[in-house]
Amino acid sequence: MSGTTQKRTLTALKRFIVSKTAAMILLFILLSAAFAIISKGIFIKPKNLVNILSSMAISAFLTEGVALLMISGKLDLSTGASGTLCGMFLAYILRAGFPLIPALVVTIVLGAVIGFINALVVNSMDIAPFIATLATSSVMTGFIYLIANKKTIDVSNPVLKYYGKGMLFDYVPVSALVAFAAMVVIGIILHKTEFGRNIYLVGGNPTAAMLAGVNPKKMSYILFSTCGFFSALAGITLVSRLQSASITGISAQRFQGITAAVLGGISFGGGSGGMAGAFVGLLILSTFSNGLTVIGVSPHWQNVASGLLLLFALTLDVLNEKRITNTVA
Amino acid sequence: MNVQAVKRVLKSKKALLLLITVVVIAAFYFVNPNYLSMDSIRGTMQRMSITGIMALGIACLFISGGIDLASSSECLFGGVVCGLLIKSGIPWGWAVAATLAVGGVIGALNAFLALKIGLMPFISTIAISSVLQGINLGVTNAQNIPIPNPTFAWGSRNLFGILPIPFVIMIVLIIVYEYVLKRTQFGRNMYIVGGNVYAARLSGLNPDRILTVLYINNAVVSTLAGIVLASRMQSASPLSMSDSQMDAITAAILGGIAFYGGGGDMSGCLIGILLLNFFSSGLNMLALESYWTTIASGLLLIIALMFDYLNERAAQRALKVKTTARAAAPGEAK
Repeated sequence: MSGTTQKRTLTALKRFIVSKTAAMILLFILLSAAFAIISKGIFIKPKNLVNILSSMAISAFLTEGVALLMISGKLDLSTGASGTLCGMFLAYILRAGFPLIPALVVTIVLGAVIGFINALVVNSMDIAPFIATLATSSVMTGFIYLIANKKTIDVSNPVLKYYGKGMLFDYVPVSALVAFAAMVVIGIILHKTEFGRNIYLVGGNPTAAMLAGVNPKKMSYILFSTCGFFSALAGITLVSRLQSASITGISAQRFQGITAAVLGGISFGGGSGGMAGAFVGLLILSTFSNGLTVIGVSPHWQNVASGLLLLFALTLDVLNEKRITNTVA
Repeated sequence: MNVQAVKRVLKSKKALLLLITVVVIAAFYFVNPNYLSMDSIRGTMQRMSITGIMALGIACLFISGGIDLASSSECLFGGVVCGLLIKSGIPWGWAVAATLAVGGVIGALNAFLALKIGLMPFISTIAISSVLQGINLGVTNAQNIPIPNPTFAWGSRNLFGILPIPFVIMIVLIIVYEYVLKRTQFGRNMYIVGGNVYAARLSGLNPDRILTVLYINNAVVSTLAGIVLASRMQSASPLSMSDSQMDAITAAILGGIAFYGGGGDMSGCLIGILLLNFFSSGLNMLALESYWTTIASGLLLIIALMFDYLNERAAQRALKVKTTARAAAPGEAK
């Protein structure tokens, strides 16, 4: 009896060791070690580790929204613009005298509505999500400039400041804690609920999903709105941290969600991957960009590095897919 | 026979598009007669030629079912490389040739990633775009590079004192591409590959080879746009101009280039370029803030994509009607 259990644990362990997640964890450890050595230990000082954690909050939100969409086989390239727009909007209505709680609610609803509009454009005319969301991005960028009116908008709110910059027990950034908690919740929804399983079903085989009574279109409306919701959270987090909203906003991080998701094994084809992998992808991404800053690479050249990292992730994804196809064949 | 041909032209989507363009221009002209002054038209021509040149490369890729979202970065990269080469003392002709060659290498890299490794081109070219933009900013430290070379300033001159040289370059390219598309085997193969890759393969074509040529072509054309821009401004700017790429895509799709491949031609593309640019320069003339132009061009892209979708569906329906008709007449089917 215990023998079979042991055997089963062993197989699970074996499967884990050859899995992509394990390879990614190894990559993460190697990367950290390399940065620690090159930076002569600065990289692993507690202060820097906290920096990494708090930098993960924004990309975590972006990853969560995009990951869900990608599992269902769709994509959103407008997260940078929608997050920036929501952050800008929040700063604007706070300055106009809105109380904090209604302002936050309205901003988050705005994010979800933007996502819904994305879904509307994609579904009503069968337009490929990547180009549809690029087009809506352009519209949103216009609105960002419109609201900003060539200025940054300052935000001074103690609650937002605590959320953006505050630390729990001196070492745990509050915003990162919220973002990770959301990740755990999504992980549970994905694996333990029927809705979560339906997301995989839609991504893996839309026709089969339809036959099983799941409506892929309805699903895409829900998931695009969710993605807009998380983009809004990312935008709010940045505004809380900087205590001001600028037109650049989170646009520099716009592809981080996708990079982290793909690194973490969420395939572009849909139907695979999960939050644990996405978290590892996020770790690698954040380590990578923080490490480059610590060892003194200028932000300009970091663009090159992040582009290469995305290419690396995409290539791994394709190779993985090919391997799976070969195994099935 | 001739009357039918005329009727067909009048009924076509292109005629409608041309009509819309004329209406747009007329409307802005009524608001402000200065809109059609020589200076204003020349300004519009100069502005449209950069996005126009980029639109041509993208249109060719679309026709065969490819896509390149690094065009803007390739354009800026072209300007920066050319500017640095000229600054280092190389004669401008050689600098231009070398820059175009660099563009070719970038295109080959895009083709390699999309076709050999099998990445989705829309996302792999975004990654390449990030890499190129990083190099642009890193090399120039995000500063403009002035190009103090009067012989290189051809981009700011006019042919016969009327037509801006960049516009002439665009028109020449349109004629060349139209010729290739309509009169050569390669052009016809481009449509077959874009229409149905499997059918193309079965009929003995090599889609990868055709797409490789088009990826290289697009990167070269985009770097050329960057060179023309640098020549016109007499300086190379490394700063982002992501709008121009979206404008180029919008112009191409607006002009009837099928986003998913297999349809469209250069005369349509030209009308798309004209419509988009006269529209946005009209908005500028109304002294609206530039963000209205940004919003409008995003909306235009969505509208263009909707037309593309309706077009595609109409074509499919026509095909279905034909097949049903054939099935109803069994004698013909054999």
